[in-house]
Amino acid sequence: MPTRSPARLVVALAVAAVLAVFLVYTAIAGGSTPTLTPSQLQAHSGKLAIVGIVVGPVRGDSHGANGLRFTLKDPTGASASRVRVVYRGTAPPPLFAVGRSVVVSGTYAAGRLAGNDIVTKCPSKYTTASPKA
Amino acid sequence: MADLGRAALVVSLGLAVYAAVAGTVAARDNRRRLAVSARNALFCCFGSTAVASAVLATALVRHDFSFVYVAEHTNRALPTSYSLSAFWGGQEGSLLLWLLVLTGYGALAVGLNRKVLRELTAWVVPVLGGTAAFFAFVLVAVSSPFDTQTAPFDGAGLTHSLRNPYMVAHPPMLYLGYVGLSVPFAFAAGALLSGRTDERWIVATRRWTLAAWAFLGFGQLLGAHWAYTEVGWGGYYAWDPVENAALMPWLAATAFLHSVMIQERKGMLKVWNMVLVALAFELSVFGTFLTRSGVVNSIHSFAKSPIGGWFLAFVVISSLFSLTLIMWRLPLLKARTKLESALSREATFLYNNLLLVALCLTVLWGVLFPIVTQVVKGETRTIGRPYYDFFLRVFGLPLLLLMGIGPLIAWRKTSARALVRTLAWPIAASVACGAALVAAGAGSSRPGLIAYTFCAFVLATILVELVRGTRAAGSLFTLVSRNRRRYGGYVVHAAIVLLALGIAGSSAYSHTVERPLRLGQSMTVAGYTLTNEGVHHTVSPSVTRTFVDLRVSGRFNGTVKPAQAEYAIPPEPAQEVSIKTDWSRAQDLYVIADELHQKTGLVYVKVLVKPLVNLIWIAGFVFLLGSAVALWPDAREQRRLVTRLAPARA
Amino acid sequence: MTAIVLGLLLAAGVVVLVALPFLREPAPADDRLDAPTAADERRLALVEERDRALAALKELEFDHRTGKVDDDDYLALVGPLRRSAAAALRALDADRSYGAQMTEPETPDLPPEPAPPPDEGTPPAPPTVPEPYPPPDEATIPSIPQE
Repeated sequence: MPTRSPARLVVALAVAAVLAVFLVYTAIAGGSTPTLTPSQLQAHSGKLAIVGIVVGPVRGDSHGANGLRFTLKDPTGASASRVRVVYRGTAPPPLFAVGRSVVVSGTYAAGRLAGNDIVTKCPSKYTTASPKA
Repeated sequence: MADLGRAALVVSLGLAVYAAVAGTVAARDNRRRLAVSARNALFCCFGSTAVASAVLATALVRHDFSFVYVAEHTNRALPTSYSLSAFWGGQEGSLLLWLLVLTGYGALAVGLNRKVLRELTAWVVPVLGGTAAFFAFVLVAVSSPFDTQTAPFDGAGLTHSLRNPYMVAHPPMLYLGYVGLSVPFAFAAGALLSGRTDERWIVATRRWTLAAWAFLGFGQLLGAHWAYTEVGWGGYYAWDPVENAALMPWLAATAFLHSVMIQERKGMLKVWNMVLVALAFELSVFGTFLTRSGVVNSIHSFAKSPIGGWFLAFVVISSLFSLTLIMWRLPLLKARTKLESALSREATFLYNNLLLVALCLTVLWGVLFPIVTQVVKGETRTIGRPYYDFFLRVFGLPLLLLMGIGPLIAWRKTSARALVRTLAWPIAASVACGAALVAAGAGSSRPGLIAYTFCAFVLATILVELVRGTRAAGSLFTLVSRNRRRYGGYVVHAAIVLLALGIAGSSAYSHTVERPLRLGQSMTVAGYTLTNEGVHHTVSPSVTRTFVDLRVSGRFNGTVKPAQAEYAIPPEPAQEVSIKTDWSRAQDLYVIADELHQKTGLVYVKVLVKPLVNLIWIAGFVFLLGSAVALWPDAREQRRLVTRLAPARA
Repeated sequence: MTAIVLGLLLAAGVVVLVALPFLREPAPADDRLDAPTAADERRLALVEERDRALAALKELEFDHRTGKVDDDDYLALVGPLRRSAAAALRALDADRSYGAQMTEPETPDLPPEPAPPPDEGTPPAPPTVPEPYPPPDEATIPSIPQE
């Protein structure tokens, strides 16, 4: 074929455009959150999520002034680290209970997590759990 | 009986291995009787897997708690239909279902094609056999549904959220989709192995791919509907890894369905199609790996399971196998024609493919990101909703637009002038629509407005196509029946438009308000006023419910009673939301009883008003209709294929 | 007990079915996998080429009729398509190794006017619209483009 089809150029440009959008977004927005267990919390602060098992007693009310207060322990049991959580917002999903595995998102500072979102998980069985509050 | 089940699975494993090995030898050495024997082994594999499945199903229905699996997932009080659905409720049973569907599909595909394309089919048998061998191996050696114990008196029962008709249908539908993608993959591998890289493998598997894709899509909508009504957080899709595990192969399959049309007509994109079909297959197996290995934090996640490692190994090995095959046969995959213009239907199909694959890879990256960061940085980072929403808009909105433009562009090339002339009416209609929407207040969300306008555009183009086509063909029926694939495809496009409208409406234009309400207090959300009229209980042996009585006035007049429930067996709390649909706007009033204070009568209530959300469910039916039209068998085409592709000596 | 019996039946049935081809034909005349001969393959390729060319032509005419392709584009595109269709038909005629019944394209039962859209199920009959150019004669047949 004597001349290169312009179509190939257009397609190549389209591919490049798609990649560019992708790279720009991930570079600028950087929308990822660290998801840590209580034992991994050292030297971290700010917006993050903690995976752990709920330890009682669970006190307070998520809609109240002092929030819902509980403690999270390490899910693997390998470490004795614990984190105190103060959760405010919509009531946690029904499956939230002492002994359940949860992921709490929020802001971590001074050894405490100010949580604003709870996701519960169902243990081992192939069943689904109710998601975020 | 568990012994019979176990034995049947061992027989399946043996047959699958035989089909793979003997099939390879027969195809390579051109041995007819051995090839027929391997094919028979594949048929028998289905038979023995069916026996194993019957054993499990019988045990479930009979509440035979000596089966560990039955005891874990059912109890005596469970109705028969749910006992049966527990077949796929657990890991072992769902793997058995996978093997059953795989061998069933495989037997059917090979059986239907046994007189045609014999050289190709000879290679399809070992590929399917190898895949079946993997699943049979996992079932026999790693995760068996036939483990026994001394029977306890009663079983653990099925989680209450799964006792729902949608959840009964959702997994089998998804499996018919996932597993169905292995048929085109096997034929593609067969084409490469036999050196027959023309379009015949595509023509032979076209309906399989379409059917698998339709099941996968509809299955996902069933799951979304279940999440919306049963789980009750107000949404239908959480971008959870398990949800994404079904979305990714579906996107790849959508791209594949479009690009094969180019290869059939123009002989282009041969390598691309091979890569796509392998990608769709690997993603469906990879999805299973993700779902079961516990590698990624998911609200659906299961404990770290031993099968995860085996699945990963299978995905890696089969991907390497596919890549090697493609590289080896690269010389045979040269395009017959070239792309002539950036403004042609071939080009729009290419753009469509690019966007679909980009979206698919975006989702894949989002799912893998926590694993990658864990490996690279030693710290898990998860990607949230904003990432997915952003890319859904960036790639999805142009896709929507292409859905309208593509059908109106001609093959090979269209001049810009002709294109503008054809698109004039749809563009005018959508601009007018956009203006009307802004006047009606839809300007509050720019992405929502853009989505609505694009949807209007696509609907207008479909209308144009139908009107012009009917004029040329004489009647709509003639038009559609002579071109089922194309017009079935247009109906599917209309379904996607409905889906897009539903998603845009329920996300961009929804209202959410959360309020505490004392007894007698009211709140107003988007035209509905809700008043707290008190709390009441119902108690029964199996469940205790606490209802909030809310009187509603405004767009809906009546009461809603969202509740919190405590089930007894197995003990489990649940959210029971109240949904009232206003069909004139396809809108839902969605009320969640967040927190109930018995003594004071104070309740926290979360109210969502979701416009157009019901279009999503309607879209599911339109989607099935369109797929059915496109799938409709054509007797003449079948005869022609059989006459052509079966060799002269029978 | 039933389990053992069923299990044995299953095993026996499986063995028989898998061995069946060898039991039926212990000494076959020809144990090769049926495959089209080179001549069959060539013919098949030519038939498919003809069908593709005719379908493309039919589709172009339908697109023209429904306004997707305007007159200028139509005139520019139809000539090369007609020539390749004609060439494919000629190549098929020249290759005589295939049976007579395979040379006839299946003609769909269409009304003469208006023409229906390209039918995926059957290759269409050659177009009956009068040609703007004289048909190419034997001396000027282009070979099937090798792209």
